[in-house]
Amino acid sequence: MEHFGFDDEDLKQRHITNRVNAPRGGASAADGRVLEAEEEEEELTLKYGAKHVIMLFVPVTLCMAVVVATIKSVSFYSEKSDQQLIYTPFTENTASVGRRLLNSVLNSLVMTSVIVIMTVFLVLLYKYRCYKFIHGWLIVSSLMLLFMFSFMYLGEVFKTYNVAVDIPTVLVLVWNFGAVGMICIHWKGPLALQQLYLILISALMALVFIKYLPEWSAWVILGAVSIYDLLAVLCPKGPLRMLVETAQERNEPIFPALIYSSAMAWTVGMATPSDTQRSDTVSVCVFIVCVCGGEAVCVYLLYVCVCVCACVGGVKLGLGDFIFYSVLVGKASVTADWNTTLACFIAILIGLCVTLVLLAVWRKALPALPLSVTFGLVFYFSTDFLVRPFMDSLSDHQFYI
Amino acid sequence: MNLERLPNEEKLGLCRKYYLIGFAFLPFLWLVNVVWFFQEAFIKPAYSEQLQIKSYVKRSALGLLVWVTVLTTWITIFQRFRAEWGEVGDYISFTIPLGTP
Repeated sequence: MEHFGFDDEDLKQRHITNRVNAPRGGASAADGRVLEAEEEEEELTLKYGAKHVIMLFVPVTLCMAVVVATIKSVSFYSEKSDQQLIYTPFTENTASVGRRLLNSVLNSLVMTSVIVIMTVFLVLLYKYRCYKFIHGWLIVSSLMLLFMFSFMYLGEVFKTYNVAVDIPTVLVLVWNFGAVGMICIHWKGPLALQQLYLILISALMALVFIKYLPEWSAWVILGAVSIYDLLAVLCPKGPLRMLVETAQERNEPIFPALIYSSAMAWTVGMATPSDTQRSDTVSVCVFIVCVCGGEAVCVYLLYVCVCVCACVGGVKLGLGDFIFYSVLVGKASVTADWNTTLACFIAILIGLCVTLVLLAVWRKALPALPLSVTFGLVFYFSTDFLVRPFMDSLSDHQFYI
Repeated sequence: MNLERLPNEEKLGLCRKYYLIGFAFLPFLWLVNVVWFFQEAFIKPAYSEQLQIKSYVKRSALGLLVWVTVLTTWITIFQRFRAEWGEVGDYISFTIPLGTP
């Protein structure tokens, strides 16, 4: 869910230059010049758009690359585990196919309803200005992600490569990673590092989903969440849309931490009042608490981010979008070969491109999940069931095209 | 966050805070401090706070070097002598490799 912004200052300059440089003429010539100026504005929008589309491709690709690289090398994340999240209570180890399908649909209904309830809860919190609560929630969630999941991840990587590591070194590594991450995300830090941390926590989250969601449920959940995204952002009574409208009414910037921004948008505290008024970003985060077997209670975080940015350039993409894209590509790489993985990756990028073009045309917050996930799912199933057997039998018969 | 848009006093304040927080066993933070403020401290033309920023960057770099030396030494010792330490070695291991040492 992103919104376009482009540099208004730059445009104003252009307008002024146009009017100054154009020769004085009659009414028809003036109309012609106005048209020209409008065309230039359109061109500028698209040019800025193209640059920022490319700037979004890089982090999305990076996130997916981290997830796929981990899955291919660390077997822990592709092993089936008996533990399931309490949000997918129906098991998939059933005898019949029909039963399994039913269970996965029920799982996705449970998961989606949890997300809806949490989002509505958060909208209410925001409406009644319980900012401290939300802020505390965000901090606890990022603490969990940065320390616990990275600790788990590091342990699995060391086990995979069969190296001996001592506890003090591990503690220093995890402490450094986590503390600098908290500082960069919630306080002040270099933009590149902040973006890198956001990419890494999205990848960690996606890996956890890939590990703990049962096979068929994961695919159905992807579909269900993208439908929910579509409804929540575009329907008049959707929670995310209400959130956006409340944020716009209040004209206040909060939670800049959990949106990936392609440009240096955060000028809060440094810019003039008019700038800060126009830069709002709201992030909605949903906590899902889960009990993993007999282990400690893990706090899973699902970010469903909506962003409204109308100022200093840059396109913003919510972390939830990163996570679900990576889940799709990660699942494709677990269960299928490289052809399918690449096909899904390209499908997601195509979807992202189309979404950003629509963003440039409509200029309001849009859901980023539906198009990309639809293309991704279509490509996954068609490649896995149609293209792969075709390529296999082609190479069986030594027929190269 | 863009350093360019900050006034000089705030840059100094940020550099100083990063330096001080790094004492909490955070050499990575010192590394970030050095890399981020390197251009400010050494490449930009002189301004009033630059001298202090330079000193903080140098001190962060020194602290980072000390930490790197200590860590490298410790890891080398651990990897070399872990098998010989027997029970104590296992006690302080996070992951123990499979197979013969």
